[in-house]
Amino acid sequence: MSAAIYFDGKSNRRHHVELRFADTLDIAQAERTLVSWSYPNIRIVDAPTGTTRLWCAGGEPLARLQFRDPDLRREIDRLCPNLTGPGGAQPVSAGRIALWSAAAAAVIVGLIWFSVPLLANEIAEIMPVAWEKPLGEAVDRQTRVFFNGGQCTAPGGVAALNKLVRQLQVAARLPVKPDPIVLTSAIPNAFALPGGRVYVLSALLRDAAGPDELAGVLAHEFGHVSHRDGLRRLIRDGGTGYLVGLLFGDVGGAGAALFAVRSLLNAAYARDDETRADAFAIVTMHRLGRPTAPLGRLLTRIAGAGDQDYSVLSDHPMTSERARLLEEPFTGTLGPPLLTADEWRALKAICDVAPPPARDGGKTDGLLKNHSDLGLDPDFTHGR
Amino acid sequence: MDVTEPPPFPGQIGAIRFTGDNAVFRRIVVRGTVLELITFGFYRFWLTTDMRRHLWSNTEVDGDAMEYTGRGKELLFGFLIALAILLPAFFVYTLAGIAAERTKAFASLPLYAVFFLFGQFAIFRARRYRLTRTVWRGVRFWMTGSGWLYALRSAAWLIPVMLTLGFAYPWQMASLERYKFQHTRYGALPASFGATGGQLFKRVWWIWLLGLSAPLGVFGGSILAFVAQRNGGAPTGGAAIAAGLLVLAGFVAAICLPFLHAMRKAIEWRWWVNGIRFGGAEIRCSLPNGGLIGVYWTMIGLCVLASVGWSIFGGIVVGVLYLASKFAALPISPRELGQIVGVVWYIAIILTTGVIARIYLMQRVWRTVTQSCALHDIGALANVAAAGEVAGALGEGLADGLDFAGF
Repeated sequence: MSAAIYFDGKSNRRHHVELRFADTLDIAQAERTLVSWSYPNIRIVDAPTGTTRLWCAGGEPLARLQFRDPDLRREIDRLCPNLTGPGGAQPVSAGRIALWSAAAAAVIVGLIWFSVPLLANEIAEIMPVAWEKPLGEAVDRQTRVFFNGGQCTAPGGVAALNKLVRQLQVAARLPVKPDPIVLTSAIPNAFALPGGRVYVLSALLRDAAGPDELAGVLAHEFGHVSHRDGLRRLIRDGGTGYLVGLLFGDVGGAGAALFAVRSLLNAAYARDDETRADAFAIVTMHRLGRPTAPLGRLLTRIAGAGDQDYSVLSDHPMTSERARLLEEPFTGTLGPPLLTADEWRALKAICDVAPPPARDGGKTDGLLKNHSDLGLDPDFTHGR
Repeated sequence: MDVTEPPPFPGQIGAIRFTGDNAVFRRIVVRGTVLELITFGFYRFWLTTDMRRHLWSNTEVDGDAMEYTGRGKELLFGFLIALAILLPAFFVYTLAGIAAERTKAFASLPLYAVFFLFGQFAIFRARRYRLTRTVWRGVRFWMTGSGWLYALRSAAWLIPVMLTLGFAYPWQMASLERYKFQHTRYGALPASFGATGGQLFKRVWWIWLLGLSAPLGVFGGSILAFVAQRNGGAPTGGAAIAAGLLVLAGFVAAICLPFLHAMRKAIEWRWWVNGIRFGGAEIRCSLPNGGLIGVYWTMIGLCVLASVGWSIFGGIVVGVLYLASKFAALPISPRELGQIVGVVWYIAIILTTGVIARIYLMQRVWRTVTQSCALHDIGALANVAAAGEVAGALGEGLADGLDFAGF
C-alpha cells in the first residue's frame, strides 16, 4: 500500500489516498475503495519532473492520480502495459509528421504547378469581357496614382497613335479597340494590366527608332490583352499566394521564403505568357506585312546584355532568345509603312506638352524586365 | 478518519513556482525549429503544443502542477477549418476591393478593418481554446462570452487609442481584460478582473512618453536640419544645433527603448496578474519594474552575437570557396555560389534568432513572472466543482491563418 494524491475530476478536492495493487489498481481512502482502474487503461499524463501523474482511459476525463515515489512508479511501469497509449501524453512521431508534411507539400506544389494555371485559364475563358472592365478601371486609377497621372496627350501624337492602333486592332482581330495610354516615365517599358489596359511609358517611345519597333511592342501587349493574361495572372497570383501561405504559415522568416517561391513560380508562368505574346505579335505584324526584327532589336537595345545570370528569376524569356525568334526573316510581301515620317515624328513628340517625366519607379510587369541598363546601341539608334 | 486535506486557514498563501529546466525547454525549441524547417512549417502546431505542455506542467500552484491537455493535431484541424472559412472571405474581400478601387484609387484600404475584426475574434477564441485545455487539480478552466462582441469592443477602443497617440491604451487593456475575465471560469468558480486602466496609466505614462519621443525626435530633428540646410545652404546657427540635439535625443531614446520596453512589460505583467481574481482568491505579483530588463537584454545580446557569428562563418566559407576556385574549377559560378551562401546564411540567422526569441520571450519571461507571484487566500479555491466543456481550436487556426497573410 502506498500513499498518493487523487483528484476525482468532479471537484478540485485533494484526496490523500492509498493504492492497492490487486486485479485492478484500487484507489482507496480509509479502507473504502473510491475507484478501481484496470491496468491496461492507465495512462501517463504531463507532470513536472519527478512527479508521476496518471489517468484512466474510459473513466472521468480529468481524474488524476499523482505521486512522487520512484518505487511506486516502478511498480506502475511493471503492471501497466499501455502507459503511453492513446489519450495520454503519448509521444508524437516526428517522422510521421515529416512524412505527412512532405505529402501535403507535394500536393500543394502540384496544385500550384498544374491546377492553378489550369483554373486560371478556365476562369479567364468563361469570364465575360464585361466583367473584366471594372477591374481595368480599378487598376487604371492605381496606375495613374503610381505614375503621378502624367498622361501624354499632344493631339498630333494621339492621332498618329490611334492610326497605328487601328491597323493593329484589325490585324490582331481584337473585338474592342485597346486604347493604349502613354505615361511620362524615365523607364523604357510598356505593359498590359488586368482589364485589358495597355500602357506605354514615354522613355520607350523615346528609345524606339521607328514605327515598326513601337508597333511590335503594341502587338505584343495586344497579345496579352487578347489572351487575357492580366486576368489570368491575377487569378494565378491569388491562388499561388494562398497555397504557398498554407505551406509556410507563420514560421519566422517565412515572408521571404514565400516571396521567393512566389517569384519563382510567377516567373515560370510569365515566361509562357511572354512567349505566346511574342508569337501573337509575330502573326499580327506579318498580317500587316511588317517585319518583327525591329521589335527584337528594340528589346536587345533596351535590355542590353547581362540578363543571363538571372534567367530562372526573370519574368521574361532571355532577350537574345526572344530576339532570335523575332528576327527570323519575314518572307511575305512587304506592306506599306504603318506611319508616315511626319506621323512618326508627331507620335514621338506626344509628351512634349505634358508635365516633366516623373522620376519614380516603374512596374516590372511590362515588356522588359531589366530596365536598369539601357545599353543603347548606336548602330540602331542612328541607323535609320 | 478523515483523510481529505484539512481546509486551509483563512488568508493562507499558496506558492506559485516554475520548476522547468532551461535545458529541456531549449531542447524542445531547437528540435521543433529544425522540424519546422523540414516539414515546411507544418510542425508549428506540435511545437506550440510542446512548448505549452512544458510551461504548464512545470508551473506549480500551491504544490500541484498545472496541465495542458491540448494536442498538435487539434491545432492542425483548427487551422484547416480556418482556411476553409478564410478562403471565401479572401475572395469576397478581393471583389469588394475591386469595387472600391473603381470609385477611388486605394479606397479599398479601409477593408483591412474587416481583417482586424477577424483577428480580434481569433484572439478571443484562441484564448478560449487554451483555457479549456488548462487543468489544475482535475478541474478545467473555461470561458463563455462572444468572440464577435469582443472584436467590436476591441475595434471601438481603437478610436480613443489612436486619437490620444496611444495614451489611452491602459484603459483599452483594462476594458478588454475585464471582458475576458468576466467570462472566465475555473470549474464552477467565476473569475473577474480587478485592475483598472488608471492604475496602469499612472505607472506607464512616462515610459510611453519617452518611447514616443524617439521617433518624434528623429523625425523632427531631420525636418529641422532639412529646413536649415534649405535656408542657409549649409546647416548653421541655432536651427542646426536644435536639430542636432533632437537627433541626439532620438538616438539616445532609441538605445533606451529596450529598457523602456522591458520595464513596460514588467509593469503590465504585474498590473495584469494583480487584477486576476477567482472567487475570493487573487494572485499577487511582486515583479519589480526592472525585473525583465535582464531577460530582454540577454535576448538582444544573444541575437546580435548569433548574427555576427553566422556572418563571420559565412565570410570564412566564401573565402575558402574563393581560394578553392583559384586552384580547381567549381561546377557553379562564383555569383551563384555567393547567392547560395547568402540564402543559407539568411536561413541560419532567422532560425537561430527565432530559437533565442522563443526561449527568452516565452520561457524566461514566464519563469520570471511566475516566480514573483503568489496565490492569496487559497481557501477560496477549495472544493471547486468541475464544469465547462472543451472548445474547438478554430480561433487558434484563424489567428494562424491570418498571420501568414501578414494582416
